[in-house]
Amino acid sequence: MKRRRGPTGRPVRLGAPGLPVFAATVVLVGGIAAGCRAGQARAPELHVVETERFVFRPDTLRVEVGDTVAWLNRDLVPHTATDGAGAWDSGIIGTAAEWRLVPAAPGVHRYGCALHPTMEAVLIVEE
Amino acid sequence: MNAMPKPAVFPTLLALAVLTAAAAACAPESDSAASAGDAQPGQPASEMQAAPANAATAPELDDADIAAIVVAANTIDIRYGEIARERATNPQVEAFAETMIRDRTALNNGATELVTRLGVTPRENDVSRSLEQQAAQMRDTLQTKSGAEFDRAYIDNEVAYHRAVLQAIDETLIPNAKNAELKQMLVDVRPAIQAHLEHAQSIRRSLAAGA
Repeated sequence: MKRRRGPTGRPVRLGAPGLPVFAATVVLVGGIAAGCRAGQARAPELHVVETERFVFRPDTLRVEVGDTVAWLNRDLVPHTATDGAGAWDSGIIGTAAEWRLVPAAPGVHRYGCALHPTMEAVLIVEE
Repeated sequence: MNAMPKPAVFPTLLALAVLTAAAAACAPESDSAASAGDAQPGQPASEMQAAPANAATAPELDDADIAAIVVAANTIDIRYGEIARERATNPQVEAFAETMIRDRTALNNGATELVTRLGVTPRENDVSRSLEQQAAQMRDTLQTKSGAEFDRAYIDNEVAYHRAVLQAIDETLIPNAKNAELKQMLVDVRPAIQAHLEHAQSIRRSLAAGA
């Protein structure tokens, strides 16, 4: 699931040529690596979690740091999206309203609706 | 864990029993009738749609009657919540009461908006009047209690009331609703009532454990 961002070519051999060549090699490899990272960089994505019929859908969501997660309330009553560890809390999300979060660090968040304890879900944030 | 409520504490149930009994009186008993009281936590809402919809089992309630019953049922629970807002002492009970006031108000607003759009004017009927009369007695009972005794009485009533409402939705209101949008609204409301019931049951267990 986790995306690889580094170079995937053959390993670079270091040895006889000495320090200048080594340094040049490091610079070259570093440049290639940076280029590869830039080439593979993935644009942040938008993920939607719907609250409907008193459940979060999906009930488990994997995202990457920098993605946006939007909770959209399709129920007739208000809900919240509240991290069980206290990292974040949407406050009241009214009917047809939404709340957005951009996770800044990896982690596993078990969250629920603070108003309705039967509603539970998991947000997994990866690097 | 799911001890039966003390009958004297739940007069409103009598009115809802009248509602269910009205359905039974109009037709032979049906073994397929799913009882809301038997519903399991997390029961999918779709299962509710398997509730008996046989027109032969239906009491004579039309959409205007149903609209009035829905509004009355929500309003009754809002008023219970308002009493709890003043008298409850347990933080879980206080929070539950606030949730009931908030959710039932939202449900009533949604129902009112829908029936207005449909051109259905809620019409008071024997069931809605009976509900309100019985609820008035319950409010009087709750007003005599305080502290932990009030907390238990309020939550016990909420458990019993939500069970009865679920049963009424399943066995009477949905089967009798004629307008498709009104019927769908009742289907959509059911998960809220089920979640409220499970929430109240959880608090009741907590109170019984001395939390």
